[in-house]
Amino acid sequence: MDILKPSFKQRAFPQRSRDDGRSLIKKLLIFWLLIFVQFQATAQAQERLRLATTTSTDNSGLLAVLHPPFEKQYGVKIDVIAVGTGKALKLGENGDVDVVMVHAPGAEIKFVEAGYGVERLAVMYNDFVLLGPVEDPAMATRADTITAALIGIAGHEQTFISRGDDSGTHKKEKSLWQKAGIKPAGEWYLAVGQGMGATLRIADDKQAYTLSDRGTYLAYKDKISLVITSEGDPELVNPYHVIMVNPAKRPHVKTGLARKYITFIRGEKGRDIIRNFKKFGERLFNPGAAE
Amino acid sequence: MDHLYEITDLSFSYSKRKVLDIKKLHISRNRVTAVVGPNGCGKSTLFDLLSFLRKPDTGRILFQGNETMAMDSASLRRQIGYVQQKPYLMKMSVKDNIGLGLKFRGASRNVIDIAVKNIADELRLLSLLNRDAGGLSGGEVQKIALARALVLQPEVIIMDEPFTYLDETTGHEIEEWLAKQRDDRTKTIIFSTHDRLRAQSLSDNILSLINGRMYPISSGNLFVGTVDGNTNTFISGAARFEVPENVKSGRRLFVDPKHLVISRERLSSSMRNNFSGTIVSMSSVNGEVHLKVKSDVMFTVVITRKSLEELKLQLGNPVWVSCKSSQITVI
Amino acid sequence: MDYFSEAITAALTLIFSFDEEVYVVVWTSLRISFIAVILAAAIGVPLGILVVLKDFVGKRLLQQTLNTLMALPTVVVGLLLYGLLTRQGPLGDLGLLYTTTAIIIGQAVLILPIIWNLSIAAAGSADPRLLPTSQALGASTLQQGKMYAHEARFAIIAALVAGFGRALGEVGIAMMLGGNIEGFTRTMTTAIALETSKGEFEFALALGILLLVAAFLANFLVQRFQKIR
Repeated sequence: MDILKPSFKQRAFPQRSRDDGRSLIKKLLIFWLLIFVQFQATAQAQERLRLATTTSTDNSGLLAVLHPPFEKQYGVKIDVIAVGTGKALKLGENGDVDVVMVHAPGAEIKFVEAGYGVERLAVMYNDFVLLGPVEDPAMATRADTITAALIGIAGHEQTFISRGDDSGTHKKEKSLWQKAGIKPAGEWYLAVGQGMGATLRIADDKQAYTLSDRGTYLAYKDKISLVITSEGDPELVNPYHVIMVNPAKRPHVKTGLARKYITFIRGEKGRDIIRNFKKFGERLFNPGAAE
Repeated sequence: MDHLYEITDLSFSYSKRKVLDIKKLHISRNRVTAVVGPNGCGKSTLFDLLSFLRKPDTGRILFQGNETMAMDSASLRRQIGYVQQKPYLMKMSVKDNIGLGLKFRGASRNVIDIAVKNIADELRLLSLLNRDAGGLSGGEVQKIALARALVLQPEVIIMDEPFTYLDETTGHEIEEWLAKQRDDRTKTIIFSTHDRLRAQSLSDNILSLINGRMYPISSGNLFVGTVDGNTNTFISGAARFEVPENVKSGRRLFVDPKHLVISRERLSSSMRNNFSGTIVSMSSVNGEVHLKVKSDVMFTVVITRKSLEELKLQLGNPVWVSCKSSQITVI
Repeated sequence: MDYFSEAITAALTLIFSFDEEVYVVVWTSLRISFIAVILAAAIGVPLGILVVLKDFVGKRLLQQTLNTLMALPTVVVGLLLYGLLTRQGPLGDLGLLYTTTAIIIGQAVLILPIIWNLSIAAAGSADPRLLPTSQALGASTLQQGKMYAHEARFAIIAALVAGFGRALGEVGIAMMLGGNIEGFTRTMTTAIALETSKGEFEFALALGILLLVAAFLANFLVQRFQKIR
């Protein structure tokens, strides 16, 4: 027993054993390895471009065919953050994204004028449609203009579902009510605060009227029973613009990559993809600026 | 004498209730000290203080001559081997339990293995080493806890009520081990028990603790000698005791001072052991009277004050001391 | 009912055909929540044991606070971290918003009170003789803590599983801090929310089933592990 004494009898200043130390080091290594792996996954060698866009754009499925050729050509990745137009512009304002693609001309112009965005350029357009139940109790199909149709809905107090989320569609809807001279309120007017797809499903469930962009409507056509009750009014044109976040204000913006992206989607290849993107044989978006 | 602990004016309270109040206490190095007292007398608290798990409210504890109040408890604890009452084994193998203190001290795996094997061999625990600590008997747990403390080669082994949760066999083993330590005089051991008999037969010094206060105790009536198996007698110097028939060996004889009967004349009774002698001292302790009677050996007899008055005993009186052979314990 | 049973059939087909899109989302979710648990455990378990080991002023208040924080709403965590991580926020320069790291941090913050509090309960339920025994054997504070971790290991693992379940099932943080970016920060829960709104009920259902399976599996493994020991 006495041979042990020197090794552990140094009581006042015991040494950490080598075994103990080794297992601790091993544990720490594993811990930091995990952290490292995570950061590797985050900071992948690939460059990432951040695009804030509207849910309606994303839900249409267009970006899923528009982006891969670009990503392949430049070896980059595009992170799509799909939110309402208001939130998308806010993300641009904060510099959390590099590019925004939205469809709310009024808000876009304000955004650029405030200096948060530069190079606002038209990408494509489609139009809004007023959807409603087949029975059309508000007789919207008989109205010549969209404002007349809305007046009919309000007059009959037929349920109308509003996005209510400050999106491009919502902004458009509000401006149309204004033009019709109506302040929509009452039990028949429901603001749901959700994306276009969710709003369509709610409107379908309630057999109510709602305003939708044509792209999303076509994407959902087979899942809902609502039909178009008003379309074609020049007021219903829905132009999409792409805006680069102002690098003078938000210096980390990837201007090079953002410009490449904007050039790509407005260029020949991008226009082709947009023109050929169809649902049920119908074209969802038209490339270029609305006339 | 060389003292391991020197304690003065020690007190300790639990929320204003004073459980320990010790004016002076010295504990000798390389001796076995027993602390005797009923449950709740402050034994465990005293042991917690002696093993530096708690700090006293007031007073001084000198350990190896050094004042400990200002010292680091953790490094003081590493010099103590404390076997608590109803010891707790960690949820790991017996082997790992015994080696745990060494691991805490940073010993290498090899050193731990050798030390654990040695101590397990000494305490006959080798067969248990690879067992899990759960599901062992009280006796096994007690022995493992003792091994866990001993393997550290501490300055002192402190055992709180080591016999309480034991089966008879393990009880004997621990008794034997304590008796051997007492004879070897190489280890400082402090143990507590509520069994005065055991305390007296296994220790060098006895301390009586009642309501947190120390009282002196006479450690008389313990005689060294040999057993004559043929005649069932125990011979210690000139004195011969008749012992129970089942006693065949032993080196120590013990009689509880309360079991001795004192009388003026030789009693004609069934009691087989009768000694004549003279009262050489009388003292009063806790309402009892302690008498020393010089005969072939020195007896200590404890009687009540009332008996003392009835027998009209005085210093120098010739008396008879008697006891039944069944009340004699031989170890 | 037909609609529902058809959806389930489609969901199961997606699962058993090992649809890549489904499993990328599942893997992202598991990876994020696992690392969040490791992070929260690295802080919460030692702190929990420390609370049991040491007496200090405000211990009760701390435990009451932790009890309250166990029910921390995910959107509140998401909101606060969003404010910190957005480019204009104090930590904006790190560029962490809309990355998996942001979700991991958020989920770790969310489950830290859970793991911390359950670790206190775990260590607190250890045998009362554990502390004096460890001290008497000469354990340093760190070694005492290790003994608690050892003795209460099953209860602590249960605490980690509870944290994992909460992290895996939450949607607010993953949505607000991750942004639901496809193939990158899209987790099971954000995907379910999105796919349901898009009407892709089958896809959402497939993920829902896998989410349940993951939760069951984690619990099952822990119980299994406890039985073996």
